[in-house]
Amino acid sequence: MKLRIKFHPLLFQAALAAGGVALMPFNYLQYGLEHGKGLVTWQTMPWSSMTSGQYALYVPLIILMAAFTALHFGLTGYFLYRLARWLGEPGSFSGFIGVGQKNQNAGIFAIVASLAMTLNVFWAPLAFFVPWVSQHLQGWMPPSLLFFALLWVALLYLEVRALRTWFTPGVDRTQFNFIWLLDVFAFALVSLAGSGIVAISKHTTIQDIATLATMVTLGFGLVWLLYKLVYLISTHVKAGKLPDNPVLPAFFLVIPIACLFGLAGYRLVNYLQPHLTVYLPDSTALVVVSYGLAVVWGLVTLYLIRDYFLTYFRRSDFAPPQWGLV
Amino acid sequence: MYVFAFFASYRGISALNYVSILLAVVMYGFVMSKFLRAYRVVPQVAAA
Repeated sequence: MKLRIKFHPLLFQAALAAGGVALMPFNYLQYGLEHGKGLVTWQTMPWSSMTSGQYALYVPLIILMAAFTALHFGLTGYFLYRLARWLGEPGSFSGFIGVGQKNQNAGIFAIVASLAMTLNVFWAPLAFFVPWVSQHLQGWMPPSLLFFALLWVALLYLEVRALRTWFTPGVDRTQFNFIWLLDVFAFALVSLAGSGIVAISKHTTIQDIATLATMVTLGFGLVWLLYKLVYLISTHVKAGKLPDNPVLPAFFLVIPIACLFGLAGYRLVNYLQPHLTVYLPDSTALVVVSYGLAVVWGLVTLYLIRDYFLTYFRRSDFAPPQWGLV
Repeated sequence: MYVFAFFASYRGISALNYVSILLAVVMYGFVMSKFLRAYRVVPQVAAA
């Protein structure tokens, strides 16, 4: 099949979703199997003690993890190549980020979100298969911190540029929809990457830098999420109707955001609590509450947009928010 | 009641997680097939 793909930052959602799917089997193996200390790898899998039933369950997961890890890195490489060419076209970036109407420029944050996911795919599913990565994970922490710092700076820069357009007089914010949450999603994924460094690294300076930077993205991201949720829900209620069909799957963006903030908060509290005299919220409670909220939001959304799935989705054309379903 | 107890148990949560992974893979394939269809180049058939 011959393809002609015009570049758009939202293309990165395909790589982001592939990374998310690659992490799912990894997490299943990490928390569902006895494998000793640290992250589960091919070498620490309990191959000899596994029953045939366990083989039947886990081998397909490992195959899926390999396929989606390869897909994530393949798509990331291809889209980065296209991004570089796009940035080389005069006026392409400034023309894109300058359009605040209907939160069209929020798509730019899919790039940062996807690259933050790359860090997580690197430490976990890729390290599962590649001993060179898993055995030298501590050695990978300084370059990981550097990559995280680049993402952190890029995210704040893009946020400032986009904020100016969203609050410019003349921009009708009642037309905004849940795709507007893509920047919060990027904040959540960058927070996850930062908290991952805090959790994995054994170097205090690296941990402290990552903790401080993650507290900024986590704190701002949470406040920004609350503001946007209140605003979007109230404008949708006032409008008295749901947005157009292609935009509806964006409602699901709240689910990964809630889970990622919960997990990042869990890791930060676990690192900070032993150093503090004040008591922070229970780290496990953070995860349970955030995942609970995500489940409730998912069920309410399924009910709200049930007609979308029953009558529209199967035969519909592609729309970027559909990646939100994955 | 038994169904609820199953899904509240370790095995139940584990089974739900397993199914959700498979569901995510199917959904990815479905959305990717739409994505590829949206960007494919349709060969121009010469008018008769």
